[in-house]
Amino acid sequence: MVITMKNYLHKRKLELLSMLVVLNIIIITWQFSGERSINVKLFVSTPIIIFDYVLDNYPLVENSFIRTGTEALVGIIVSASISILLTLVFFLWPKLLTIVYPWIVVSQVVPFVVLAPLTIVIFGEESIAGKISLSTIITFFPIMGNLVTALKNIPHEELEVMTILDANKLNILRHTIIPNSLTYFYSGLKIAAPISVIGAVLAEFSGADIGIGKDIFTAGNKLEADKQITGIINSMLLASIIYFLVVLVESRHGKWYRGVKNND
Amino acid sequence: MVTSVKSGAFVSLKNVTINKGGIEILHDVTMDISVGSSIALLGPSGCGKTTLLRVIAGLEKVVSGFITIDNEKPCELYKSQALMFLFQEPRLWKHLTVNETLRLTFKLHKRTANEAELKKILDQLGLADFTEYYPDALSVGMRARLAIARAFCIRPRLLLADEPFAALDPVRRLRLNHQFRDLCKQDECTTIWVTHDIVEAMQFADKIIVFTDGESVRPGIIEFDLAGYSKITDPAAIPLDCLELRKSLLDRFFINDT
Repeated sequence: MVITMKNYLHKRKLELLSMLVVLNIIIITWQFSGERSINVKLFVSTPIIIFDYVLDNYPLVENSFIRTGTEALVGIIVSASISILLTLVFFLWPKLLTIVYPWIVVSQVVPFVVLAPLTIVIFGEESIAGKISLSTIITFFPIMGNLVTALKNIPHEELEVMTILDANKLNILRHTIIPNSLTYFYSGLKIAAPISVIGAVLAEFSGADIGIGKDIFTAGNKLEADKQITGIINSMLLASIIYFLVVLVESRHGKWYRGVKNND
Repeated sequence: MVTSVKSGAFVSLKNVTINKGGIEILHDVTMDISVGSSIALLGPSGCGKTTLLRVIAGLEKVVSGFITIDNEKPCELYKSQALMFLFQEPRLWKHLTVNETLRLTFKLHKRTANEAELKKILDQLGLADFTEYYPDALSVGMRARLAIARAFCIRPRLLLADEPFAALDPVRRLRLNHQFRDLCKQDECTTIWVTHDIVEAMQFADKIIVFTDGESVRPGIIEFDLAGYSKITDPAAIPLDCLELRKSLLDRFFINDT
């Protein structure tokens, strides 16, 4: 069954209902605590104040949401494309994997907080490219790592069948490598979905004209809790939307894929 | 070691020795298999039957000796696609339906799928009503039949089968064995198959090669030509001479026939 918003909501009715209940409990407790304690109100505001803030500043909130969303989404797409391309290279020249992959692993040690100002210097404060590049860097490893694991775990039994049938590299790729890598690929994408938003927000901390990260950063300095919490909630919402998009794309692979997924 | 030289040998192994992880699996094996024959490999588990089959298919490297199939190396046979291997498990393409599986096999064989040929093989193996099913939706028996259909799509000259019906119940197994033999005869292909079932081997093979694993004869391969024996038509009523052969084969396995 292909996932549409309607059948997704229907299938996950109980899950969503329980989430709504928990969310209501959090909102009520939060509102109640905010009204009772000045400290709570000062640092995390209250749901009603936040709601008022969003209504009053809707264009700004919307623009920030769209900008950061674009950065995160493009970042994850670029990262997935580079990962797929590299996996293809590793499949064609397996020895390259042993040479290049350790460097990819080591590169993950570089702190992203250090990279963020660097992207601003290279691409400029107002440029979207710097934020996309950081989102790409941060999401690259989960996707690449999963694809390399997939490549290393291709069932040799299936490769033997292709050998006996004298299949060429393209057919092996199409009928053995890709079908066996899909679950790994989507696992990587699902991990990368929320951190793509973190990457974009982190880049915006270092300098941006607009974006959720900029809102959170400036609001934090001015103790504008309503603006800051709005930014955090928007980041969470954005991460959920990108995650859902991945689930949506994954569901388009047809019956055979769901069978494989269930067997995993 | 066994030497059975026949004129017009199709598969020929000369002094083949195989090591796996430092353990010698097969030692100095020499055998010739004539074209069109059906050979059953019998023996206890771990005696090297599957390894021998994989060696013939070119899937395992030999330490010494050499193998030729129709005077060519096994890998040369891949190119002419005259060799097919039926593994213990069907090893199907899970993302392709029955129909797509057979079409891809035709495509890999550099042939366009002939509708009549496709229909014939699907009908013969009882898969005609399941052409749009994915392997996951098929029963174990149907998957085995699809694997056979895929194997016979390429019209192999040499078919290597490693207990492809081991997971099936005896009734389905017998039925599939009959279908399998019919297809082999129809395509006049040489068959080498591994089995643990002595009666099945006596029923369908022209020759049985027994792998012995006893201390006194280790490692050894003994050949039984079935040409002089009665034909087994009903596995429940085995002719007297075949019963004697069965006992002799069981002795080779070091099993007490009680």
